[in-house]
Amino acid sequence: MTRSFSSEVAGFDTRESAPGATLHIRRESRRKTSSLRVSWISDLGDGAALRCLVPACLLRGSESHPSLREISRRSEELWGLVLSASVDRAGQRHIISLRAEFPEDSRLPGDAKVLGDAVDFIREMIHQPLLSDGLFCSQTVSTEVAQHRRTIEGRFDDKRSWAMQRCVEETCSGEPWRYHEYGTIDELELATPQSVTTAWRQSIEKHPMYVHFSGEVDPDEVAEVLLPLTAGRDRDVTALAPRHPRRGAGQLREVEEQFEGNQANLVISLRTNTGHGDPLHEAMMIANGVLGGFSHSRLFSQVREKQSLCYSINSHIDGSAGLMLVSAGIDGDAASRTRESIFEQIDVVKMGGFTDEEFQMTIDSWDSRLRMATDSPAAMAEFDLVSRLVGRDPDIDQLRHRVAQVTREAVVEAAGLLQPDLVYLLAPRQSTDPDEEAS
Amino acid sequence: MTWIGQEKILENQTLGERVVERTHASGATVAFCRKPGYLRRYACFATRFGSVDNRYRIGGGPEQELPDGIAHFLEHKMFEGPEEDAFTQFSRLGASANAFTSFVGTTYLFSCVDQFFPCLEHLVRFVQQPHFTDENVEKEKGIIGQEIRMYADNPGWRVYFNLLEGLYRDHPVAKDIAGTEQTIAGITPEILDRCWSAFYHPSNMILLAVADEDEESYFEHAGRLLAETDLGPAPEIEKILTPESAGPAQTEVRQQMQVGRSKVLFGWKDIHSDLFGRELMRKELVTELMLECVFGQSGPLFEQLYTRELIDDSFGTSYQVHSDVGHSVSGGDSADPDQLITSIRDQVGQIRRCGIDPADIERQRRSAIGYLLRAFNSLEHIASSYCGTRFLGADPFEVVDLLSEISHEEVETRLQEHLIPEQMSCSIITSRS
Repeated sequence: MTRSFSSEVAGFDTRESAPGATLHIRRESRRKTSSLRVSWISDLGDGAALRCLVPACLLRGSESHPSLREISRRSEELWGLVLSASVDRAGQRHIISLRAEFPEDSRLPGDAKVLGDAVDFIREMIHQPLLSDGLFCSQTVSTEVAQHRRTIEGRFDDKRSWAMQRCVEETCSGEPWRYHEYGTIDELELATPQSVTTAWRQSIEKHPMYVHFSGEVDPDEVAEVLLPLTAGRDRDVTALAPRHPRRGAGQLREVEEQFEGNQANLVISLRTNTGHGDPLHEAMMIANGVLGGFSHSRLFSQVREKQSLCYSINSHIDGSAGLMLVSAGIDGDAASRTRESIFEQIDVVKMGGFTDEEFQMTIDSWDSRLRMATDSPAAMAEFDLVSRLVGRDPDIDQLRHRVAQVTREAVVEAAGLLQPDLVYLLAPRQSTDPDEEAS
Repeated sequence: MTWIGQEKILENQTLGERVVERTHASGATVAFCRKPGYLRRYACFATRFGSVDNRYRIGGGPEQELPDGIAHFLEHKMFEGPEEDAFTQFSRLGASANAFTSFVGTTYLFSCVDQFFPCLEHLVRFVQQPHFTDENVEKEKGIIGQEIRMYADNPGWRVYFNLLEGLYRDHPVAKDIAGTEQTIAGITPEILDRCWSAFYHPSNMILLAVADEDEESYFEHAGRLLAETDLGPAPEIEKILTPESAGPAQTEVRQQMQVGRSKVLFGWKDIHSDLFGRELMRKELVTELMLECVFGQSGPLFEQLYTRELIDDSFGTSYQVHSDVGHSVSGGDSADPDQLITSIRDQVGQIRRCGIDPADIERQRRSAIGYLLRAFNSLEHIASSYCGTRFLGADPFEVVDLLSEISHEEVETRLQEHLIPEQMSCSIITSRS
């Protein structure tokens, strides 16, 4: 099949608006809402928990809207503007963001307009939070510390995600990939109004800042509207740490932990010995797709469908850390059989034992996935931002092109680089009845 | 003759959406919504057979009782084919496919960028060609068993289904959609065949596409595909409802699990066996406006409970209609579930005494327009909203007109009649330690 890689939808138009701050604007006329994401970047690790408190405190009150209730009322007046904070990671970088979505002016009844007011509302949230004697109120900080503490504690409630994070922590001791974006409770306990206020000032004045906007507006016009978001920047932009080198695996290790529950979660980490920017990175993406990225992949078709060993099973790669994680929810008694079966499938990919059809389906599925992402402004902003942070070309069509050029031989070569590093099992402590009645 | 009766146009200017609907000679409802400029194409084939449909009879025959989890089991097994599973062909076409079972229906879906019509063809064919064998049915029990265990370890899922057990005495809505490992153990190819024959007749189904495709080409393809398989006359299905009495089964359900955060949900129960279509939708909308005024972030409760650290930003509220019953749900994670329950009980009583400020309703009305504009960006939302409202016998776009019609008195009345202690139940999950 001949495939075109010309842009089907507009990409971001990028311009620098202040030291270390860039605006990324794309015209989007297919949707009924505009979307805005403002992100500040730092290194993962030290200070992560403190930085998580910054957007949380910003959303607690501003000079004109001095309470959560007033902020919510204003959001409702702005035609149900949705404003939220998020904390994410990309490789070794920590991303804190404010995200907003609001209706396009052209979709509102009569002469109503919202764009200018919405951006000004978000500007005030960022630059004019409710302060007392120049600091975030102690009550606000103390509530947000308690809330974030529970968020960190609540990570355990998603067993699969918990097992994957534990596997990464055990695999990558001494590497930045081991840090969770929420930070640690120990660090959180040290937060004070002074330290959170300092973290806020550092973020908005010095940390690299990215503003992504998609909407039905002329990019030059909207750039003027967005400019105040990047006001007050310091010329001295905080430098990020150099890229940490990717490691290979040592002796295969095993870690087992227990919990009170019903289903075991098995996670296997493998070093990919390749990553973003390497010639074999896209071939590794396809190797991962053949193994466990899609519903036609070998883990799904063989381990789940043929052997009936699990309901959920998949694999994914992290091109920054150079890691592949294979994860499955299984019966604790079937752990060794499942592990064996997963390694068999990895060997099949390494030996080139997959069919031409499996290979082609994976290439096509990746292409569809990337093209589908262009329908979503949030996914486009994420792709653009993460690309800039991990050293990938932010042009999605270029990635499509590189994926399409991957050969079977390159997939086998990439898979040959895979080195199993750690097998992690989160196992039920004792067999409990899943149908146990609540009382 | 491919189509019966007149084509229906459902549209709304505020949302800028239009759905064209026709009835196929087989009885299937076929609908199309064009989304200009979107690369992604989405289609679904949905049947009105969900987890609450556990008793039925055909043409006045004997009552058939079904094991819990059968609709979900059938959903899994429909992907099985004699040569390969249905996913493989979708992958060949560069598409991704999935399915889900809800309380009231089962939906098969795909999304793709290219090859929309070959995907549509595959969707219609695989849902109309079951392949159940003793071996593949037994194999699925292991897979679904793991799915059941996965949800059993998910405190968010457990707290919700425990609430339903607290609210309902007899109604099947309280049963887990996937059933239990015990209830699925007895499922056989024969039971699956019987269910498929009864509930997967086209007359019980909706085929919908949301895509930037030519409307006439879509109806031409859909018409031809649905004519390929003659499943005979529509069976006269009589779903037998299980009567549910007023008042919750239990005022409180507690479960201990190993969790990082305790969880609490409050529910208020409703029975509305006499309401359908627009009136049911109106009730849903009035209730949602009322719940936002009481429990939303701009309401009198949220900030107070948040600063007392009794709730966090996971706290939310919604009204859910499931066939002849429905319930309001509020809650989320809490550091002190018992204190939160006491506060909610006290303060909801106080809000009922003071009433709702008309200005709050006006703001919620405006906010709801923004919500709808946002939601109708999503192909999945359009599909679920269309299928969900058509299953209830309503029009998905009526929501905009209803929103402007609803009065302060209606919302106030709903507050007084619905959020009452006698209809309330709570579900609490706390840590074992």
